[in-house]
Amino acid sequence: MRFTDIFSPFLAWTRASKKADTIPYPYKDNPGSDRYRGFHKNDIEKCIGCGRCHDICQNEAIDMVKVADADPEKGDSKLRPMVDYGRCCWCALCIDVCSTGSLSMSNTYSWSTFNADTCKYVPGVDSRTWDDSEKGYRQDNEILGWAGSPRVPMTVLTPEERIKGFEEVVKGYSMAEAVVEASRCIRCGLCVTACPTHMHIPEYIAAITSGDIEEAVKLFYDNNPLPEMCGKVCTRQCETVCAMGYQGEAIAIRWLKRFACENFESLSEVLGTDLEPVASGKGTVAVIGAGPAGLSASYYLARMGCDVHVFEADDEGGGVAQHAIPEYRLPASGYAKQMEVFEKAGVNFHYGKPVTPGKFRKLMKKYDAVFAAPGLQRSSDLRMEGADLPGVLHALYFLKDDPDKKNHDLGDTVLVIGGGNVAMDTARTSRRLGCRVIVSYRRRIEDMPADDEEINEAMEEGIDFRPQTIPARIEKTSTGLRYVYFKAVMVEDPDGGRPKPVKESDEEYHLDVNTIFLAIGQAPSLDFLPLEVASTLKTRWGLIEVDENQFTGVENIYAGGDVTPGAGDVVTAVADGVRAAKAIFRKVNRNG
Amino acid sequence: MADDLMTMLRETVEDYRVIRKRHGYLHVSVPRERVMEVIVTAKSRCGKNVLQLISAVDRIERDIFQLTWILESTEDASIFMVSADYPREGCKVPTLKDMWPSAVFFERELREMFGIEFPGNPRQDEDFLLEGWEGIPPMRRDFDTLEYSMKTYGERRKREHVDPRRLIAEHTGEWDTPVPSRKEKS
Repeated sequence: MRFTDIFSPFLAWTRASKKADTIPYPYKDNPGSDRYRGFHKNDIEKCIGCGRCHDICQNEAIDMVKVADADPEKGDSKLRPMVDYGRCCWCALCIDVCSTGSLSMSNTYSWSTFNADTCKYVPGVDSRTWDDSEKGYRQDNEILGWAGSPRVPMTVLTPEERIKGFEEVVKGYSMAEAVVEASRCIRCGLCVTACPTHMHIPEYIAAITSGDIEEAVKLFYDNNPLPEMCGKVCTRQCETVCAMGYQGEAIAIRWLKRFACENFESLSEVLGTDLEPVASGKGTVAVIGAGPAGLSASYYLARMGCDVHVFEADDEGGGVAQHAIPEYRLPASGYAKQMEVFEKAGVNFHYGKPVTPGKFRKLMKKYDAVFAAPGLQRSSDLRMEGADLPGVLHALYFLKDDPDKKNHDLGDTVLVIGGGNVAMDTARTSRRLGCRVIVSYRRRIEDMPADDEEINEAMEEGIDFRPQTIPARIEKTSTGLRYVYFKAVMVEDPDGGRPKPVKESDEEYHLDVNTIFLAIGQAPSLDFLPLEVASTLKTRWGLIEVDENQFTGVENIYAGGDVTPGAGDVVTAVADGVRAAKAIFRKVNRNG
Repeated sequence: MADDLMTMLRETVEDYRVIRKRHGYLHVSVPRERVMEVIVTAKSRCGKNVLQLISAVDRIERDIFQLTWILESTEDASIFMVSADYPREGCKVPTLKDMWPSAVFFERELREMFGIEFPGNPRQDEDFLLEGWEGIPPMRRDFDTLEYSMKTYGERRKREHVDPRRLIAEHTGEWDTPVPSRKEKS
């Protein structure tokens, strides 16, 4: 035994003042690293319930569940992902593919429970201690390159080429381009919530992806008998809610529809036996107006076996959409193709037959139901000094009068008052006729009701925008017209409405022009209604009020399209027609 | 001073491919017949004296395992990575246990997770992490995690999934079309 061995037991005590090397007890928290893949978090306001996390999950750990029994809304299925940690393998693919980037992971990785079946929760809804955790795995677009999922670019004419004539601006997709664009769709169906007529968008996109374009066209006709028109001028609310639009570009749904229709010379051949009546319905229906709403109702009523007669004041169908939208946006070439379908479906058209009060009485008596879809006939007047001078024209009537074919002498400089699509169409048409064009609008450019696409294209074509200008009067000069205006400032509406333009000062400004177009809105003309009907109908702002079945509440009269309150676009009118067709069919076939 | 890696590669193996190169870091791909030679030379001539890791990636689309040896020099902390492709089926790779004893553990892990064999490694069949694992190794891409979960843990109770597409269709009534829809026909 050595001498030092006597002391060695005591040497151990020198460790007493040092930090222990072993794991301390009670255990201390040992957080995961900054990008650790721990329990899920979900920004519930950002999540749209597209179900992509469910689709990607290789272990089926994610279920989409109803939260607080909420129903789907426009652009949100109201479903939220529930993660089952008895299945999750923490691969984080769900985070990587999240459409909105709402799903993420905290760096918390420990959770004890006595019952394995409770080891699941809806992140963001069921509160957890790690909800506010700043650390953990996040979707990283720089690494994934995910945010830049762009749509297949569309070939369009350059602004210089455009203003030379009325050639269609958008050239359309080729088959190969359409298939690539369609294959970006994740089939969540959120677009269907936004479409007024609830077209089967994911299904027809899938059909295009697989190259079955005929099937796509047949799917269109399930609830929209004007697919080519919608494929060109639809307001495409579907694209505003597209899941792919949150971090990349929305699927070009409208252009895919356009592609499918343009792919065929004849749509009625594609539909084939689909055009035969499917139900042995009875009853006769009169439709007033062959615009999108009237056409839509007449198509489905005819398909259900009703005897449908459409009375149209003009010499052709298609309504204001077909005849006032300029050639460069909606060429006449698609018109005959679409109308052929209605004729093959057995709709009887009576053109050049304006409906008068006397005629309306007869229709009410003779037919089991009347669907009134006359549209908005009148262009609103501007109550202002000089608004009745020669050279001050209504934009709507000008657009309807084939400006691409007839020679309208507008002079060198044209002023358009208004900020809607009619104003844009008039400005761009005048530009194509070789004029210098100025657009005067009371509010700001971002407040314009026209499509952003139209405003941008108008700007590219060199149209001069004068926003925040309040018209004062129009004067006659030796060379033409003088437009006198005030400058406006935007004032917040205390009631929460949109900001209002208010005169900045009494200082007057002016522009010397040759022609002035008024494009400040359209109004219905209910002159065709007999007094006894007009007095019983419920109206608001001159528009006919209807219930969810397009029923006016008066006898057998239904109404739809622009003459009823709504968005005032083609697809809304089509949706009105579909609803009316269903309701009218139910009514006239109730007892037999 | 250790030899330059690029000089060594040019002299040792002609058909190498540089994957990435920056200061103190070089990643090359070499034919699998030459990979041991490159590693040995990198250790003896170029001072890459530490084996940091052996990793494998299952490139099932090309039917290969891509193995990567990560070597480091203690002198200047520079990194040298050598990759080589091996066929997936019956994958056999030479062991490095005689040059670095620690290779035994890396190779055991790869054997367990991917089923890659290292003939000459006496401990290659010992369990590493997955005690008593049977069947297809879990890091292979053809391993079905869902099937494994179902078999091992069974169906999870009290789960129900609502398909957004179906819910939206029901809610909007989009298939309740005026005339029988395409869906009913097909």
